Amino acid sequence: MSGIQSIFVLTAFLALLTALGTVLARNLVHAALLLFGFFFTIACLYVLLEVEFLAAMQVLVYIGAVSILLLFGIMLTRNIEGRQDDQPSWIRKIPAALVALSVFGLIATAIHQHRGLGNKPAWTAVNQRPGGVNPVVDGPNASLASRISNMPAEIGRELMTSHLIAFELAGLLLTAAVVGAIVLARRDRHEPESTREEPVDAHDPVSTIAQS
Amino acid sequence: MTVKALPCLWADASSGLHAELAGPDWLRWLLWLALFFGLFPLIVAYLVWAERKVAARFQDRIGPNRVGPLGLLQPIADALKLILKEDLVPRSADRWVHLLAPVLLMISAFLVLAVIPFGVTSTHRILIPFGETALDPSRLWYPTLAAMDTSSGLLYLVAASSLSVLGIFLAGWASRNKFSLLGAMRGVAQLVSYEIPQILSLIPVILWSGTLSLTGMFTAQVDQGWFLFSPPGILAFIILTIASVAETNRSPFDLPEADSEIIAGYHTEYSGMRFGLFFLAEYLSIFGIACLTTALFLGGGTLPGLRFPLDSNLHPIAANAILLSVFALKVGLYIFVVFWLRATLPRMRVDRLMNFSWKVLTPLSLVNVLVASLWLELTIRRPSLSNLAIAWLICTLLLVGSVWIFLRLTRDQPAPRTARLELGPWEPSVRTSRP
Repeated sequence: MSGIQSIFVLTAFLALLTALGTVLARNLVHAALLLFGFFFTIACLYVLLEVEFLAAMQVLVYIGAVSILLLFGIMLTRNIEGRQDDQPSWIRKIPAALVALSVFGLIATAIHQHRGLGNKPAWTAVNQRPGGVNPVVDGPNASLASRISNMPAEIGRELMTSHLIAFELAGLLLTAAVVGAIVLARRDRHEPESTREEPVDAHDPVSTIAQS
Repeated sequence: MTVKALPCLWADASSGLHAELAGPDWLRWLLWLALFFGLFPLIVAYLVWAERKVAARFQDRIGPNRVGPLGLLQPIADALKLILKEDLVPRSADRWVHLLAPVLLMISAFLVLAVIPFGVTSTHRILIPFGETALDPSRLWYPTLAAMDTSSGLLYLVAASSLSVLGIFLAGWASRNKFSLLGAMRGVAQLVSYEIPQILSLIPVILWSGTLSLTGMFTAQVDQGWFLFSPPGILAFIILTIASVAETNRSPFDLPEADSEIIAGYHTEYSGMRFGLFFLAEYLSIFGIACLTTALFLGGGTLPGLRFPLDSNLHPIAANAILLSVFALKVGLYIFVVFWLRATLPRMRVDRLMNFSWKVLTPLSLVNVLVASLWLELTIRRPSLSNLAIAWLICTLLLVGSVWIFLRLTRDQPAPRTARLELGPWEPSVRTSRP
């Protein structure tokens, strides 16, 4: 096992540990934190697989955005600490374990089937590339240069050509979600005057004068 | 520069054409580690000293002058004091999360610096761009002196800086103190809001250089001139500066740690070196932002309108000495402006802070993206002097117009400024009636 491989195995082990911790932690914030640890180890695995773009996206979307949303959600719940008396019973644990095992089995078979297809390239190809920076002309690693893809450009091109409709639909969906959130959060203008509370802004001389 | 001490790092490339910085991988990584964990914390410690001196000058004081000449040993004394102080953790605090929060902030601040191109490893275009196979000599890049360079460098940078939100939130939550939590809530709201104009203001740079790699951006600026020298570039630079100051929680955007309102915000319950870590992370991120802005808009270490150290047959050491000192000068000036802002401007009000981000900076940076693509079509894709003049005229008009419109639109709400304008005519009569 080479150095990189052992680092990969170590990171994968850490990912499994954090995933287990997420499920087993009593405290909700701790569970969320372990989940972010899991996201981060997945980003590390992406880096080890040399897909830096996905790694950056993973950190940006899951840790930068989803995590904050999740923590805000947790702050709004009452039972953060997790009481001892609401231990889930075996009746609930067994179906959960069954579902988890069957999802695992499904994914494992799917990957195995895909890998077994005759016309697909093998997944075990060794792709060497220099670490850190891309190679120089006539340098020792120049022949490897073409193997380093410009991943953001490739993904952008794909999204703007073959997957344009899906991309635009996703954009539309997100816009609808934002508009919906604003509509929900907005105070109703047609509320009767008596129930509407008018905050007096101390820094605002006009409204203060008007009310006095 | 630390590499100077080890001449074995400097060797000619195997082609023998141009002198190039080369060396075994382990040595390169060792030097970068030394730089990151030796030099950068030292720079940060002296940034604190510089800020105290600058702020003192602004307030007509002398500043630190007791420890060593000009108070130069003050940062070391402070660090010793912080390390020796008792490490206090509140009894009800969440011990591990309390410990983790400042570390997360530190990691975020350090990771940002990993992709900044400080200098060059060779003065000639010899680097093959990402995804390129045809070796057109004019499309090659200058190999830059960065700890690493990936094809999604800018995205990595944004992702790394977004980790700090998590650190601030956890610090506030784990302290079990209402002031900490208030500060953390303010901090998260502010950071999430100002992240949007910050990222949007980077888009013109990506448009013009056609890559996310910071090395590619450096080369593009050598070819096209600094990205600052265009109307959309100036606006993007200003938006990036404002949003970055807000991202580092500094005055006038220091509401998360507003000491006159909520003690010290999210780091109220931190003492000793744990507080020191917050301090270090703040100044490190100022340094990181100054480096980022220099690399993206101020042409890295290049001189304005001059290729000189590049494409010359100067030895890489000499070329890097020029590039690094110019880079350091730009970073220093930028940091001085940030200090200046803090010493001059009072804290913003919460509602204005949010309005400024969502109603002024975000739409402005969206307009700026459009104007930047206009600039790309008019000048960068069709370079001629007449096109340049037309583009300057159109872009300046469009941007000045949109800045005016957005500032005007936000001003129309009842705010103290309009109130004063309405009360204006009364003022003289009040004053004249006074004896």
